[in-house]
Amino acid sequence: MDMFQIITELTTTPGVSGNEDRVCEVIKKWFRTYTDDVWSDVMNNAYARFGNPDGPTILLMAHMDEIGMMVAGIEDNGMVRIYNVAGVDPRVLPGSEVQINGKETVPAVVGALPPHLQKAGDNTKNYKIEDLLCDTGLPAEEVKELIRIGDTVSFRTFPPMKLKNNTIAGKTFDDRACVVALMEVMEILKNYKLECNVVVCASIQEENGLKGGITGAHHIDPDMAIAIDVCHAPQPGAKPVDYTAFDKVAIARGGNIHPKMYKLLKESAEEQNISWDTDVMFARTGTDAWTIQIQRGGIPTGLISLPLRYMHTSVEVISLDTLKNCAKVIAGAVQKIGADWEETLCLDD
Amino acid sequence: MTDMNMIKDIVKAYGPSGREQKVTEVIRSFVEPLVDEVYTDTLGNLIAHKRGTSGKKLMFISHMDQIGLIVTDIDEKGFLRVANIGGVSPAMYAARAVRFENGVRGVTHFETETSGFMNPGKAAIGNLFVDIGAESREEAAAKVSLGDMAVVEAEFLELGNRVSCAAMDNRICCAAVVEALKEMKSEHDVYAVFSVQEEVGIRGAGAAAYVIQPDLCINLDVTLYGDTPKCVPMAMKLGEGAAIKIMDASVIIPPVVYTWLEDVAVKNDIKYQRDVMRMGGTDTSAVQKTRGGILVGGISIPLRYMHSPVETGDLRDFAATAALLRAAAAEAELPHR
Amino acid sequence: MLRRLEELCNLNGVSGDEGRVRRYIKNIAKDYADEVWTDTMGNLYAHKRGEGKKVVVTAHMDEVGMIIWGAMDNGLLIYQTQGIDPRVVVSKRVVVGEKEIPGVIGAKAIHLQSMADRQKVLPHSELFIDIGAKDKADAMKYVERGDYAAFATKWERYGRDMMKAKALDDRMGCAIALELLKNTYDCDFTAVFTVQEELGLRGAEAAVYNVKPDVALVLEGTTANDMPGADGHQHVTKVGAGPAISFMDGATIVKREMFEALKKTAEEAGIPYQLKQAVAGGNDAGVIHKALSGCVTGVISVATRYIHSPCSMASVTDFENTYKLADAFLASGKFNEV
Repeated sequence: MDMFQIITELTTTPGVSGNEDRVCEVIKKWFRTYTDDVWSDVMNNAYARFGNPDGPTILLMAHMDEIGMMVAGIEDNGMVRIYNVAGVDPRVLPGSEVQINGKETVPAVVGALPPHLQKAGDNTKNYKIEDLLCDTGLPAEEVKELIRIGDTVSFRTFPPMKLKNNTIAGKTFDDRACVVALMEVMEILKNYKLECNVVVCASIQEENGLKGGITGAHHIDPDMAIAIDVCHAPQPGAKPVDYTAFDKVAIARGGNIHPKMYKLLKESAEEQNISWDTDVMFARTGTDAWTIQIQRGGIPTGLISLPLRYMHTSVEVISLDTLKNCAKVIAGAVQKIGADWEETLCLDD
Repeated sequence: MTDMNMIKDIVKAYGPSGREQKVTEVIRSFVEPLVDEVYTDTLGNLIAHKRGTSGKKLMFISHMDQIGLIVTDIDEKGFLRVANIGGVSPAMYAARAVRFENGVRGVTHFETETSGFMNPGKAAIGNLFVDIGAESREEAAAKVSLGDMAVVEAEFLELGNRVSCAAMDNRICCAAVVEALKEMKSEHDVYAVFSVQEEVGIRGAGAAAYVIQPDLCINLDVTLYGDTPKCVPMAMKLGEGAAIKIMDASVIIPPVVYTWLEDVAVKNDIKYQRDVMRMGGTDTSAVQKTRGGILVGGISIPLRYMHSPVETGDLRDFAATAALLRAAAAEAELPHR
Repeated sequence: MLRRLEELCNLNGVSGDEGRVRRYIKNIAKDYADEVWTDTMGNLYAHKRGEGKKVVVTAHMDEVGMIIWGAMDNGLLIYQTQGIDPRVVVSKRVVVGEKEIPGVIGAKAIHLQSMADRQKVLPHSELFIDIGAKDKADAMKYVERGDYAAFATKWERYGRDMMKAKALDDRMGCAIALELLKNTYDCDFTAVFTVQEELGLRGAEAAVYNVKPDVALVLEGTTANDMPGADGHQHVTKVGAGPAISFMDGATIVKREMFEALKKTAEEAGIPYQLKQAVAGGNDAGVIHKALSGCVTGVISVATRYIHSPCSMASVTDFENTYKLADAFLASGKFNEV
């Protein structure tokens, strides 16, 4: 499979949290290239099932939604007022190119009061979302024709760029690159006779309260789960405790992680000679894993993270090699799950 | 004709979060003649069920609890120390008359040592106390116990098209549901849930949704406004109709639901506006993530001066909301995904 | 019961690493319960079959502590934590990992501190665990990333009626729940020992789904602020004033009937009690009461000073009376009336 091509298609389709309809369809289309058993639920979580339907069920999850904004009002002069949806950092917005997903896709620039009109001292403060306006350059009547309150606003969907050393830069690699990693898992496993039943889920609204993780894990009721999300890679100003090396697969360990799922993933990486590191998190991992673990009567959960630079900007950077390695680690773990899964996951007492 | 007495009775009923029995009785008396069965669940949610034939379940949810104060200590001079139930602004709750469930009344004030006599703005909730006229701990304890709750005493004002009172959040919506039930015709099983404990963090709604498992749930709550002098910019205005929820801080409504509600409004010639609220969550979120997920929407009534004793809403928005609920229930085809 | 408490408090069971505590409890509970089992998160259930309502008593096994992030080049260990005030960890002993390797948390000597240094609160990010390792490689011989570290405080009697230990919150609840298992009540009874309460009531979320109780009684250790300088209304609870019954905290408003039933139980049985006079903080009741279709949930706590620190203190009499109150509530069948 051409990962870059799929990433390009996925990241150029808008899908702000709560409005994932379009990207959900694109993902289902790609899922169907691996299995006929593809569906989506009432929340728009997209699923693909394969493997042995009589075996234990493992849920693999990466989220499809992206951070973004929503149109909250239209000023008399046609400028568009926005609110953030999920974790947009208002500091990255001024001067950004965005698109308003209205009746048509309308490009806009995010503007704010120019520096010479600000009060002294204001330029040392960051903008708040309510200070910012989207400028489409269109006359007010046309804006009101094309755009309504409630339309989503996303970073403009420029295709990703190829950088040196098989790294790429673009928007929404958090977490659609990981959705692609799960497709790579399907690719690796497509000719392998599995003992377990695998459900891949591209979840919605991770950035807005982990709602896809909550409902998806409840819906599937798996015997175990692995989430894959991005984590921070080394970048200017970041402390070592906050990141994992760019070329290493991060395997999480801590309260959110079932000890045996950690072990399973770790062994998979070691057996394949894949460069990996432990990602220590005492509590909240801030991923779908955090909620999957406590759904129903508890679900043994592991977490793989792909190191990424500049999270939640329009120029996120990842390594395609590391992405592939993430998929290999997950695929290796899935291959190990058989009829003896309950012993594999038994706590030590 | 607006049933002003019904609105007033529901708005004025006592019912802080966790102590909703009195308001439950009032609402029950209005809904009992209108539906097939009325019951409460473990948490105290009041559920009015009107049977249908389609096999589909349509749920409305409107929280009936209000913010208030809870007594945490009585000092030797008979002053009551309090903590907040829900989002109470200490400044707005200073120098107010309050009322307990058993009818005991009192007034609130704040420690003046640091903020002076005229400036409650600096007071935190821990600096507030309630004076019920008692002169000793014993006298106070005979009237009020630790854990008792008080709500602010406010007059129900009719101001032209507008009405103003405390607890309009969210009793005006409870009243709109009652109004809608009056002549409701629906093929579906309709469950009108009057939920508890929304103001303390959306604690009642999930249990109701867990049991009912509706095909669609419409939340009724109040929303913010952008039409008072120098306020935070926001599109919603009083008198502009039922506000169809698109987003609040806790939930993003699926487009398939809000466009369906808009179509219903247009078809029935009901005035509506779009509601995008950045602050504040609603029961909608808890319902949405129940079990494997539930399709949710919301209709809001814009309300000025939220969480103050003078919350002000518009009767035309109230009427439009009731009409839209009734029209939505009458639709044979519910949105689905 | 007090000996059990001593043994429980001396065990290390930081949130996410409750295995030792669970094994200890399981070993005792199996003699009294019809079935004892562990779920995938590590919650332990001790079930005594019976007719009538499904009643659970819960206590959390986990304690506040640290997880090892890694080592510095000089061999000092970097840790993460949650819920511990950094001002209480300097100059304390800890143990690290499965093998309970001893370590200490030190800080720059006062002689070397400038006046500005002395004003500053050292954050956890500037504090380290010293296990005596020569360098990073040496440290990693003994410790794995993701190992847990706990305070090394030992349980002791203090004064006449007091005790000192780490993890009194909530090993007191665990000891009481274990003791209750010896009795027979007129209901279907389960003692649930939960994990990860300190990480956000995580274990209880799964546990309530596994048991689906009608009535729950949460046994806790809660803040006692009965210190000089705190006014009466700021005490929250007072040590020695009896079991603290909650009407509300930051996560739960207790149903009035439940709150009244607990008060009435204490009055009828002649057990001194107090009310928890603050509405902040939360415990497993916060998720139990609103889970699924809802569950009537009450909370009784033992007043505990210096909670979430290496050395907390509580009254032995309060602890024993908390057992008596829970027992009297269950024996009286009042759970049928709430």
